[in-house]
Formats: sequence, C-alpha cells, structure tokens
Amino acid sequence: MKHILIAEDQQAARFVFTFQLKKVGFKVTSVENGALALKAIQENLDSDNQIDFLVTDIEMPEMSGLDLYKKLIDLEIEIPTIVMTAYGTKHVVVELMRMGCSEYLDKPFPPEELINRINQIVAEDEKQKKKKSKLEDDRNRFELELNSYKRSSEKLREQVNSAKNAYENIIKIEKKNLNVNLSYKIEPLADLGGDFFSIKNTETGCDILLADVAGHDMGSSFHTILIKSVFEDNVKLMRNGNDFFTKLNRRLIDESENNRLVTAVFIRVNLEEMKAEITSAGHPYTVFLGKDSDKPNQIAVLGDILGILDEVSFETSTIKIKSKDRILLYTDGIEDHGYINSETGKKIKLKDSGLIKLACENRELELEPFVDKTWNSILEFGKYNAKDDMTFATIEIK
Amino acid sequence: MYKIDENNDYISFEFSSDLKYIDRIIDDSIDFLKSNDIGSHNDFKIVVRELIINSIEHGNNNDNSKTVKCKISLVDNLRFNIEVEDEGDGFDYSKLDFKMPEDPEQHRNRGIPLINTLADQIDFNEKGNKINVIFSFHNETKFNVSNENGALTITPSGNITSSVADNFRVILLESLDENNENIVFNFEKVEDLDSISLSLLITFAKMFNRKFPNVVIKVISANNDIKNLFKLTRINKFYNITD
Repeated sequence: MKHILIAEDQQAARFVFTFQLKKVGFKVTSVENGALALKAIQENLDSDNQIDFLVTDIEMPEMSGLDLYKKLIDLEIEIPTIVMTAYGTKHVVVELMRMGCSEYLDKPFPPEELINRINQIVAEDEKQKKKKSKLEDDRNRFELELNSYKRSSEKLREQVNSAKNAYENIIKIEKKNLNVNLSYKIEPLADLGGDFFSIKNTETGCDILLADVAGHDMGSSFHTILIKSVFEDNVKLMRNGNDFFTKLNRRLIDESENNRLVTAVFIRVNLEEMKAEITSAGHPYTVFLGKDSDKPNQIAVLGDILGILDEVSFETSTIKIKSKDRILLYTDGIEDHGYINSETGKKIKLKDSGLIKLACENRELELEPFVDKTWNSILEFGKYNAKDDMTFATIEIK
Repeated sequence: MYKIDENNDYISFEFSSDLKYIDRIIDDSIDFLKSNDIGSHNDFKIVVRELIINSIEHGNNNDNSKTVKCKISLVDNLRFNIEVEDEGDGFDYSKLDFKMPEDPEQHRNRGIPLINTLADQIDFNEKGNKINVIFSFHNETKFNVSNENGALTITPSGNITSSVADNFRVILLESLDENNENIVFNFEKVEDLDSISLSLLITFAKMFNRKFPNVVIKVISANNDIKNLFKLTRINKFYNITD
C-alpha cells in the first residue's frame, strides 16, 4: 500500500483529500505545514512506514511547499511530488519547474483529478525504478565480469610470474666453488626464455650445457625444465655427450606435446687429462680462445638437432686445454643480433665472425671484464634491439 | 601553433608543446602514408605517438612556448624515417634502458623500449634532443604454391618466422596431401628462417619421408646463411640444396 503524505494548512481541504485517498486504498498521513511534512518524511525514511508520495500546498506557515521541496533536494531525498498551486502562486510554479518538479495541480480541482495524477505518477515512478534497477543490475553484472576478468588476469600474471621465477631459478648458476672460472650473460627476450645454461662440477672437472629451445614463451621455458633435469641426471651418470643427447632427444620427443627444435652444445672438461670434449646438437660452433694462440679457433662439430627426429647422432671433438684457455659458448640469438642498415633496409647480423672479432679485441682482459665488455659490444652492435633470447658464456681453465 | 608541410616524399609538422595536437599529427601522417599505399598502421601510430609524447613531456617539459618538429619521410617503398626534435636540453641517451619494464601495469618509461621493439633503428643527435627512427612496414610472407614441370614448388614471398608459422604449417600439410614426391622450395626471397620455421621444415621432412622413403626434398636459391644453417643443423640430410 502506497503511503501518501499531504501537507496542507487548511483543515477542510486536508480532510477532503485524506478521505478521498483513503477511500481508493492509499495509506494517508496529513500535516499542516512544510516543517511537519519534512519531519514525517525524515522520521519514516527507510522504514515500513516510508512516505512514497508527497502532495503539498505552497502557502503554508512554518515552511512553505517551495522550501520543503528545496530542502528535500538538498537532503537528496527523492519523493514523487505533486504541488498544489493557487491563484497568485504562478511565479512559484516557474521556480519549481526549474528545480525539476513538473507535477502541479491548479486549485481548485476535483479530488478524482488528484487520484488520477497520483496513480499516473506512481506507475511512472515504478517504471523508472525498474529501469534503474535493471541498469544497476547491468552495471553490477558488468562490474562482476570486470572483476572476474581482473582476477583471472591477475591469476595469469601470477602464473607467468611464477613461471618467470622458475625460469630465473633454472638459469641461475652458483659460480663459486666451480672447478673452472665462469662468466656469463643470459638475456631472455621476454620474461620467459628458451635458452638454458648450466655447469656442474664432476670428479674430474665439470660438465657444461648450453641449449636453445625454439621460441621464447612459456612452452619453451618449460622445455628448459626437462633439459635441466636430464642434464643433472647425466652429470651423476657421467654418460658421454652422444649418449646424453640421444637420451635428451628421446625424452624431449616423448614428454612434450609439440615438436620444438632444440639445439645444444655439451662440454665435458677433464682437468686430470687437461682436455675438453665438445659435442654438438645442431648448435652454433663453440669458440676456443687458447691463451698462447694468436687467433681463436672455431670447434666445428656437427650433430642432429634435438626434439624432433627419432634417429639422431652427434659428433664429439676433443681438444687439449691448459690454464687460462677460454671456451666461448653462445646461442644463435647472438649471431642473429644485428641492426637494419638504413641505406638498404637489410639486416646486418653480428654473425660468428663478428663475435670472434669482438672477443679478439677484448682477449687481454680478465675473465669478468672480458665477458662484460664483449657482451656490451654485442648489445651495442644490435642497437639494443634484441629479437631473440641471447646467451653468451665463457669458461676459463683455472 | 600547428604548421604542416607536405610533398610526395615527406610530411613535416611544427607545433607547440601540447598533447592535443597528437591526434591531428597522427591523422595527417596516416593520410600521408595512404598516399604512399601503406595499409595497416597500428605500430606506426604507436611509434609516432610515443615519440611526440616524449618530446613534449620530457624534452620540452610541457612548456607551451617551446615547439616540437616532426618529419616523416619516405626512405624507400616500405620504409620511413621519423625525425622528432624538441627544444629541450637533451639527455644522456647512452644510459637509456631499452628493455621493457617488467611490471605490466607500469605505463611510465615504456616509450623508448616500445619504440625500439617496433622500429628498425633509433638514433639520437649528440645533444639528445633529436631522435631519428627508421620504421619498416612489412608485407606478411605469403606462400605461393605452383606446379612447375611436375614439381610442386613452394615459394615464400619473404622471411619465414614464427609470425607466419601457422600459415606455413598449413601449406606444408596441404603439400603433403598432394602426394607429389617431387617437392621444391624456392627460397630466393627468404633471407631469414627462425628456429620455429626450422622445426616445421624438419617435422615436414620427417612426415614426407614416411610417405616417400629415400626421396629428398629440393631447396633452390637459398642464400649462404640458410645453407650454413641447414648444414649446421644437419637438415641437409632431408633437403638437397642446389642453386
């Protein structure tokens, strides 16, 4: 039942309206001025007895209908209102309209007129409320959806972060206590990379692996996890390069969904016999920088790539090593690093020859600065615009 | 202030340091590109926008009395030179970090790394208040398949990299369905093959050999880099490379 408040200072009029409205089923409260009306509205706000509709006179003692209307706007109380105007109050109507009240009745009017208007306004008000609540529903739904997207994107980000941390851990190497000196740089193109580098002490020296999985996304970075575990197993089992790569190839094919090409180079440094065995699986040639030789030597070993072919074989080359000799390893991201020639629009790549040249220029430097400076020159050569994961590492015999 | 100058080979702007001009500059330069038959411009828009924002906000410190000059000129049919100069004091660009910030929510300092990723080349003048960027539009590599003297010949129109890997895969599978044991790859327009496309070529060779044991796929007109790559990765077991 709608609750209607009548504010009217004339007792007779108040009585007639109350009677008529009650007769058609409204609940009616009547007061004699604006101040009491405001009090009634405020007191019953948000209660079962809430005022749903206001019918107010203009000229009243204490607080006029106009002041009441203004007050309600100030208080942000929205109540559908009909203002009863009389001769001499036309100027007030203009002001009311300005404030947004468009419903008024000119006195005198028959009571049915008031009832009709109230019914109309109530119906319209219901419609508006429904519309508003639908809008609010839509907005809520939209917000819910947005939040759920936000949550899943945060979740995704978390997953990427955890994958990224995992990848960072995978490529982290404790350089202390190694049987050889090591300095290296590994720079994934994005958060996750497909380059994997590891070195482990063995009883006679150390085993070194550099692998490059095609792509640089989560898929490739998860391949690196598999590579890491097979490598670490191999260090314990001390299988040779050919057997290690054959095993790794098998597991890459069996345990990954998609055929991703992996190239890798495996080096076993034997400090008792002062030799290094280098086995390659389609990987760019390793560079040997002998302490006494004037020029670097590319160790040209060939082998099948990993991860796709069922039958594979790998060459191994054995070289003699002595103290202060260096072995340089890198991924093809280094060879392909380059810039676009602004004259021709063609890409100028560093290539293995460029890397060897830089290494020669810096060869007199101690290991750390040698790697730092060479690395910076590599980056500079390609104007810092890497298009692939890049790894550059140098091992120095103690 | 907003001045514009244009002819067939370039369009140039001079304007006061106000971000409100950006959209106008972008629109006008896109019109210029269109007159040079360039179709899609999203990356280009990003580069120009970032360059101008940098010069207004960092170069001229939002000082309205200072102007920015921007000139976009045609280098050759798909390459453009974008030059942006401000009236600021310049900066030490050798300390620039070209790497994207890791936090995806961070909007600051994405500008230069973003430009570096999308453009071919970035150069500064010595003072550091003028930046020169070379930007290339790339035609996506298409794969032309034809029958030449009974051989199914696949000719890529450009480099084969991960961005066209899906198309390449489809083409390879379709070629296999043709049941033609005479397959030729014509690499005359290919300068680069990345490892993803190399994976596809090997997988393809594997499937092909299951169908036609002991038949070798031919590769013609490959450049030396690709020849070396095939040798290094031993893919030349499956592909016979001839000139």
